[in-house]
Amino acid sequence: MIEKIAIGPETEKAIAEIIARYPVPEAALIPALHKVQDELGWLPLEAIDWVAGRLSLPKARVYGVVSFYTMFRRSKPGRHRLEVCTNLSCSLMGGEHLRDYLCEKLKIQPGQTTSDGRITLTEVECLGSCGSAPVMLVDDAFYENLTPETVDQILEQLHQKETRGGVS
Amino acid sequence: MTERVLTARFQTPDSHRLSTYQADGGYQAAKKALSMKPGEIIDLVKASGLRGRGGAGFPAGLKWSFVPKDSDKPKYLCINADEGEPGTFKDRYLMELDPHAVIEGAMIAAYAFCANHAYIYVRGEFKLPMMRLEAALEEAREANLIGRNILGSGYDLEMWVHPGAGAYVCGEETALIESNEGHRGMPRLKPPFPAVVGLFGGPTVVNNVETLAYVPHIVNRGAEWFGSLGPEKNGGTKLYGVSGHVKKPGLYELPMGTPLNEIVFGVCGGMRNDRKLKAVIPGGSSTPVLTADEIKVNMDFDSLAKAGSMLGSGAVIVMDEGTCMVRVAMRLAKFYDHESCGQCTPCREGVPWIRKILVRIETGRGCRQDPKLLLELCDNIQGNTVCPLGDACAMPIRALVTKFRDEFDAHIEKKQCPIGGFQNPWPSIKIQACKVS
Amino acid sequence: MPKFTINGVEIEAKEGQTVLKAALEHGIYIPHLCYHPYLKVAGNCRMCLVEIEKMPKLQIACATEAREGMVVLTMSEKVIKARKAVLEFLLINHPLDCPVCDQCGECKLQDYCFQYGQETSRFQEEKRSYPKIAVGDNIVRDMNRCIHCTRCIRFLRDVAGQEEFTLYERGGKTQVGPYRENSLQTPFSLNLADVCPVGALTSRHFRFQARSWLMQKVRTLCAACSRGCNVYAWISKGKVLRLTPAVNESVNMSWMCDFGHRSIQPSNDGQPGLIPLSGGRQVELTESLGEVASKLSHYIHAGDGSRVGVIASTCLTNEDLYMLRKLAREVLGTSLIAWIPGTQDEAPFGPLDEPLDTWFVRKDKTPNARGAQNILGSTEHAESVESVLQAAEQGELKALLVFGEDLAARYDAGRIKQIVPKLDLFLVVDARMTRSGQWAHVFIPDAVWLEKDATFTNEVGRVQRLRPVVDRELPIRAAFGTIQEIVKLVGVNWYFASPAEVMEEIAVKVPGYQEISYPLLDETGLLVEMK
Repeated sequence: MIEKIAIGPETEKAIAEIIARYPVPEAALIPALHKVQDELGWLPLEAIDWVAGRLSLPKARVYGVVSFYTMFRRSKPGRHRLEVCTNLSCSLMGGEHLRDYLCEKLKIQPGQTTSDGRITLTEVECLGSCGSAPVMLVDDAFYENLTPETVDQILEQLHQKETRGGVS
Repeated sequence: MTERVLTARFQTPDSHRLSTYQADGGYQAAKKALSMKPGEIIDLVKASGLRGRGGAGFPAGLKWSFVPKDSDKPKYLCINADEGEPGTFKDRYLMELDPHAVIEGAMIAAYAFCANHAYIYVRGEFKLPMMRLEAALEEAREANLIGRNILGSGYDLEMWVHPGAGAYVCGEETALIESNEGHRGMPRLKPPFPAVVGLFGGPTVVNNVETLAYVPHIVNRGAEWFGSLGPEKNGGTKLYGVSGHVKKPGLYELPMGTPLNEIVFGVCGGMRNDRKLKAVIPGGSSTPVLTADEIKVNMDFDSLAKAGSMLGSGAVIVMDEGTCMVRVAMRLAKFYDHESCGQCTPCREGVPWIRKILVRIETGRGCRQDPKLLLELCDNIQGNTVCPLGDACAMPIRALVTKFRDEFDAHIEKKQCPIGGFQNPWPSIKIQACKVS
Repeated sequence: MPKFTINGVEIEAKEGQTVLKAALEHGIYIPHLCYHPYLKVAGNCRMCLVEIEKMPKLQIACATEAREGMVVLTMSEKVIKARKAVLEFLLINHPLDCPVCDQCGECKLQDYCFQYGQETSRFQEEKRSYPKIAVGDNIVRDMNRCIHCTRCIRFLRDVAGQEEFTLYERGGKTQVGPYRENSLQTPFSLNLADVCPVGALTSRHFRFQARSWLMQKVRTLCAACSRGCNVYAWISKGKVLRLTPAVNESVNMSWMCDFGHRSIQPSNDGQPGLIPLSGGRQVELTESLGEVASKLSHYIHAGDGSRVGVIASTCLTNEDLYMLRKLAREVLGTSLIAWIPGTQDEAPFGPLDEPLDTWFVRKDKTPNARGAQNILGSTEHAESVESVLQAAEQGELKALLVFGEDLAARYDAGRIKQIVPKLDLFLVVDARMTRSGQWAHVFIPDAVWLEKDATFTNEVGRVQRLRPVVDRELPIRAAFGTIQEIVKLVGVNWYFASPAEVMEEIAVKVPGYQEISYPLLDETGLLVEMK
């Protein structure tokens, strides 16, 4: 699938500013990839090519970097992303059970997106919030001390947001 | 109750703002430091005995002193805020609630070894800490606390936030440098050490957030004061992050060397539901587990080393009697498998192998020789890898297999997990296990 | 120069040298996989772990500088244990099917397992599995066999200068390969098969052609351009199946281009059945030699020796060229001897067009222009081909002798065709049949470069040995032998028993070659001293 991408002037400007912070443009690679991902929602191959061109780097090297870091998404996620931690501290407090609970509710496995393209569920490693376990990121925001009830509320909120604001 | 140093402002409203920080004496240490000679600051920090709070406990002043003074290459300070060691959640709060303390400490450190550039490498998931730091940097820049000719001292320092993107291994200092340069976070061979050849080829110091946050206090109050807060060679207070089956999990600032049993049963209010304690991981997932009988140990670098474990990042993970230790081992191995960079053979091949064996045992497909094989694999990994990630997997797994051998054998004999994995904290809700484990 | 001991033996290392390099130089072998003498150190395979006194952990010999007084153990219990452990780790996901692997017999992993490996596997789990892919026209990647040593990545990035391979994914799922499209732009892709220590990257052309131990390996030169890369030719059943680079730090380190790698194909394919022709009729070699000799004798006796033109190719060896010069100057007494400057855009042995003149491949796709210049004189001094052709056109020439060049291809074919009837003798000596060869009154086959025992002088003046790799039966022989036969039939006996003896005379007669002799050329060759 070929994605046509267009990078907006704000992202372009932000990347130019970031490049100026380093003695070599290559060092701006990871922040630049973040900026592009923030705009597109993920990093299609065309985005990798674009960043490689912008920083004058071999495409293979950029792809090597993108595929190394788990936060870079190489497939298109759903409109909302749930990233549930199941590392030790969270799982002692029910992290794995929450993951399973979400799988049941959303009828998907970790790594999958609901058939309506609404929610992508991912199982992630330690998020650095172990004292308030179990935790989950919802579109990059921390939700802590979770229980099945609070998870239900979060899903309900996401649902309401969409129905209220119309499907984006 | 002893004095809170690093967390003193955590409850103050708007603690992250420059005005709040300055009203509380913020940046006075920086002013004082800029009037000192760089070497005097190194000597002061050396004398205090401040040890790195990232995990290894290396003396910070000594680390700074390794930077060659005559180098004509630009020098760099990297602030390691890639907090990712399972169980650890201290630097995050320092950055969220007291970002100026981190910046001031970093500024003094950079001045001490004459670096003009500093990068705060923050793990990518920490959006709020990054926002707070960036806002604080903006404030500091406007107040000429960083930038050119800081407070008229003639000293220049640029400081930026550099985001990570999801890789635990980047907490290792040379992997962090690689990542800061825009590469895959694969650790470098040492030597050369970063102090000689680091970021962009220049002499570089990598310091943990908590370590740097202490520096302004040492400048203000002196080396002796710092040393007096803890046992010999283990000065200061320490941020302990407690998670798991205690009544009051959370972040606590306590004197270095506070006994572990006091943390669990005193500070944290004892075990949740008053169940029996089974085991404690004292310093983050990479440190060898301690059994309930072993927790009378003092929580400082040297006492824990003597007890066969490590202080690590001070992340205490508490497990009650209902915890399956095979499941714990399997979960930790899954983490290290996920986070191995894949560069060197023993870690790339050995860690996933350990995980596979543990999955087999936990799911009732273990063999009698598996525990012995696990121990041998730990031996074959540890010490033979490029970086300590291999060790970080081998050490806790070895301790779990050794100290809870009967549980491993029981899984193998009964061909199933006697406990059934992690306990469901909400037994009233029936949850079907999903396919992946 | 630090002195240190390995296994109790004191050796002296060069300043800054690593333990591994110093050990290998002193004949002490330490197993290694990711280390390659001409690539940057990676230190990732952990195969070369050694014990060093006063160091708590084992150290990798490839990245540890040898220091004064160091005490190194390469065979201690601790080292052997670590070595076995690394091998076990490398093998758990590696197929255990050496007999069906193309690398079998020249695989370092196989060798080390034979030495240190365990007989049974303790790995009960499923192995990683990836499909094989073709990477460009030349390389097959079998990720299942990859040991992640990154030699290929380092070669492309640091040597070839085109970073087309990368590590992607991470941990146990790490793969090595190209991005996105399975293609390669680099003209050095076949080096990947050469640097890969296992069967993960193999040559699409050589795969499953022959077993390494059933082949003969002869060190010779690549003739595909004027650089003169040192190569090994691998022969099976009289056929050269592949060329691989041989180390010569003065010429090609341990690399060669794809153009060179593949230059054997046309010469293998094109040669069999090349037979002497006379007037388009297949004849015995003796007959063709006799015909040429009798005509040349006739001119000499008639005082027309100077009306013979000679044109030489820069694909000829120094010995061939010298014999031509000797024939022209001493026997015929003609000054009309010219050489054709190396082709700038055309392959010497076929249609492999490779316009690149990057770091390795030279524009001049012939191997011996420098030799021709030294022996026959620079193009300014020697007779030009144009003047020889003009002389022929004006009917001034009795005969035109062309060695190793297809005039119909290099010049206007119509013009050449019109020249032929004006000649009493148009002789073509070539290693392949060409259009001008078909028009020739007499065509005599030349040996191909892989059959010649001779020398080339590369672009910078390094004289290097070309060794006979394949040995075909008569009637084919090297040009210099053909010339000596003809001259003998003319009645002049030169008595060169071997090309080495020709070189002895070159050393005397050709300026700059005074130090050159076959025994002294050794493997790496010698530079001619030109003033």
